[in-house]
Amino acid sequence: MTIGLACLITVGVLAFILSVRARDLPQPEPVSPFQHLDERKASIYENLRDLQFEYRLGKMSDHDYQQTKLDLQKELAGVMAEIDRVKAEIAAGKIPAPAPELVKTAAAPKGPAKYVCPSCKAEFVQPLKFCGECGKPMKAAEA
Amino acid sequence: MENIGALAVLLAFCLAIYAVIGSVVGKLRRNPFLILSAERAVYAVWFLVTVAAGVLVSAIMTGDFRFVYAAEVSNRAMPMLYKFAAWWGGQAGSLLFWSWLLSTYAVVVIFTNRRKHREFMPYVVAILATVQVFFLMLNTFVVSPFDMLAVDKAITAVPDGNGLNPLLQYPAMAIHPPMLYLGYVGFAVPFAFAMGSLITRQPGDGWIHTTRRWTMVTWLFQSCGIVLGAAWAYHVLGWGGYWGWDPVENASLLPWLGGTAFLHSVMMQEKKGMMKVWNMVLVSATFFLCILGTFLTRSGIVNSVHAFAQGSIGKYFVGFLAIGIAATSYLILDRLDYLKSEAQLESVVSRESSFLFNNLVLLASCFAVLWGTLFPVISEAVTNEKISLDAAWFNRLMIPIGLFLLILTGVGPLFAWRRTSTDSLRRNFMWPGIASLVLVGGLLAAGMRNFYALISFGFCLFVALTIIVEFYKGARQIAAKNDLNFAHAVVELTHRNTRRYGGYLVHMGIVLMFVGFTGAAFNLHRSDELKAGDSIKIGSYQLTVKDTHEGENDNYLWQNASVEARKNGEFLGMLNPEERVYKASRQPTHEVALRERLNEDLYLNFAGMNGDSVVLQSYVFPLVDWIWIGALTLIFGTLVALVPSKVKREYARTQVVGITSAVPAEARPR
Amino acid sequence: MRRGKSSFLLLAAAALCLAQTESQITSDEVRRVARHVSCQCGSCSEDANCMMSSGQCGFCKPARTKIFKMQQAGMSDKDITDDFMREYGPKIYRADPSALGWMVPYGTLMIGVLVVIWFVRRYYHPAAAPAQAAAAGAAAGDDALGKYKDQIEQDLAHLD
Repeated sequence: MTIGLACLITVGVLAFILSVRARDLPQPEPVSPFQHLDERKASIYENLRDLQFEYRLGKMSDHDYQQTKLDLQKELAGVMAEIDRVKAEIAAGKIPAPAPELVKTAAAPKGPAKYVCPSCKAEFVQPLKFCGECGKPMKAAEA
Repeated sequence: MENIGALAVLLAFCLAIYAVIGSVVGKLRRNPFLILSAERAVYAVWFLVTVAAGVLVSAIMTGDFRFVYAAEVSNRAMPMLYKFAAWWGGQAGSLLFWSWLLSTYAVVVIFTNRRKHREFMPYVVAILATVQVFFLMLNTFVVSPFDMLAVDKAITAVPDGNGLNPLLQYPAMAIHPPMLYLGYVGFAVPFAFAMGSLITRQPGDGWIHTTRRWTMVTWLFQSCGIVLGAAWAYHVLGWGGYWGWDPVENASLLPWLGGTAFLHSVMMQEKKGMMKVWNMVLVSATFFLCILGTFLTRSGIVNSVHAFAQGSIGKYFVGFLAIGIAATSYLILDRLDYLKSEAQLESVVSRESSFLFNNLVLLASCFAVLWGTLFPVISEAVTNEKISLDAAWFNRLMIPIGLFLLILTGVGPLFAWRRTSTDSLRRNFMWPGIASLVLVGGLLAAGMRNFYALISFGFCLFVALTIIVEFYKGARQIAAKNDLNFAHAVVELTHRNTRRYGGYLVHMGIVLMFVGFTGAAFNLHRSDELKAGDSIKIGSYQLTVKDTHEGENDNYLWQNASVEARKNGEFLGMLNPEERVYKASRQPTHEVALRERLNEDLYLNFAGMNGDSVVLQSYVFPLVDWIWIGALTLIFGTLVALVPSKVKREYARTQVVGITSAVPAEARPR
Repeated sequence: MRRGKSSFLLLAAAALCLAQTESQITSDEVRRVARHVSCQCGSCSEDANCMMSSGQCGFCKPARTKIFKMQQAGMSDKDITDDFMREYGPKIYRADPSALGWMVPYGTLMIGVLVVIWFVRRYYHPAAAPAQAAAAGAAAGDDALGKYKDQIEQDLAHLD
């Protein structure tokens, strides 16, 4: 009885570990190359919001507020410039685009372009809230 | 069944090794099958450790006293709750419990991240599995919970076990170790993520965002564990202390202090991208302090160097700590360039500086506690002479540091990020400062002469006021803007930035706890032998012993005294302190009688009979209840901080078509 | 009940064989000496909660009673601890901690303060503050801010 149970456990566990089939492989969540920059941007916006709030509460002097706000805006501009730089690099093919067969969410890059940015006329294969080229809202284009 | 249990831990040990090798090799050779297989091995480890734990717990529950462990920590008459708690009541079982918690955490981490962070998850798995290997090694080869009692080679059983240490047969004590262990073990996760991110040089600080909640939850568990331990000591040990600075308590405080420093200093990285190296160091230090805490409590080193040298388990811990610390230090030093700070200090007077000091003092207090814990050991090893470090020594050492920490709690949030002008400082400091000075003046006038108590009460008021002002100003602003009533506005304010206002609530909890600690400066104590009818006076209380009673149940014999308590002649009630002698272990314990009030506790301990006299130890502990109230506030604040903030980050995410993943090179099926 | 009582007394007797009153053997004078004696009861080494100077275990109480009696007989602190060492061996003596005990933690704190001051000086660049805004490494001065000003202002309007 004990031996049977022991064998059962051992075989079961080993089978579970070793029988990895191709369809078991997890589909990784898409990761944008901008993710860390976006996070940085978000945290700067959050800092700005906090700053504004604290200023309204009267916790800091005008001078402190203006100075810090300017610093944060400059930092934000730096991050945005970095985003543009990465974008340009991708466009120039310096950063390898990910394998197309895995990228189900964003079809093949050469597919028919259906969505056009109203501001800069850039074309995209999927609906976007904001243009990947100029960053302006693209709501109108989806209609 | 014992064979199944032993097989399960052995198999788990092998599979954990496989998980380490599988993930690293799978990552290096870009084989997604191997990586997934290693992850499954972690699930399997969890299953096997669960089986082993099930075997052990069922042996204890059913009273199978062929198990050495069951005979050591349980007996038939024990209530079910304590039989279950006996799982972590002794050495072998508690280490198995460690393993089980770690594997549970690992399974949760792997499941929730099965599609995320593919770039460095293999390393996270490898690191968690490495820690798992270490503990499973202890479970399998060093202190196996599946050892059997045997005469010659025939397995035998004893009729009944020794029973769980009676001091531990108390509800708070049944959940105190799991809480602490959840905290200890939980820090392995942020550590693993930090290291994974360091090894693969991830851009940004994703590991911090991913593990923020983990860290807070584990910190919460540690806080709960520590407070439960304090409450247990207060209610059970019979000498009225909640904190005796004994090595086991210190061991639980060390990672808590490290974790607190870490929780504060990650804010520097999130807000400004500073202190990256420092955060890596802190998260590693906290993790190793958790291991050290387990080591201190499990190896017996703190009682004597000689006990340590005799025991087998200590060597393994020292080895693991040495290798782990060396490897971590190497990794951090090797990747200093990747950890370069982005930002700089704009002003010396700023939140950044206050965080630096906060970290310094937290770490200094952590070091002081560690030093005090190890000092007798070091001293004995060097001079071969035991020394006596009592609680008073620790108090002298720690009170100044603690007070400094308290005032930083209040001062820190008053500084603005980046720069704070004197004008801003004056606005924020003036009124709380004046109020505290008035309080201290008032207390002096009222005749209070205890230096530390005066400072502590002044600081407490200062910090409390700064927090209240923070809530008040914010809520007033929101109430005016959105036309809400004040209470609603407070909730709205908190909900908008739960991290910040939850954090303030935690600070408030700390302040309340300090109020309670300060009360200890005014403790009263006396110890008497009283015949029925005798009276004594302590503080404003008059105590009269009426009579004594006794009896027994399956588990213990008991005897108690009925004591009438009066205050200024007014009858307050009867108090019945009790002594129990547990049959299985023949150990006495004391059920103290408590009259808990917000201003002071009356605490009576029945220390036994001397002839026909009751040995009564009576204490008055002012303000002790505020410690528990503070702890509840702290827990509530942490829970608030765990709630997602209402205001979502609204900004345009950068989107580029065709780019969805930077990872999948190795995740590609071949 | 009768049996319960007698067995209770039997069990409790071991811990309570003493003639001195409780307050006498927990006085400050007795504690002062008891601090230098380590508890030998055995179970204390496991839970580390035994307080020799106020504990109630089978070793602590008789030991403190003995200390009290010796004090009554006019023996000095040293005589008493010497007597314990004769009886139980020199290992029972616990010395007072040396000054190293508090010098090391506070020394470390001082070093820590120096490190923080060094850190602040190292990273404090008030003059460079405007130029170091290039957070992500890109060259971004005032012109970069000018370039993105519109978008930032637009986003800021959405903040509340």
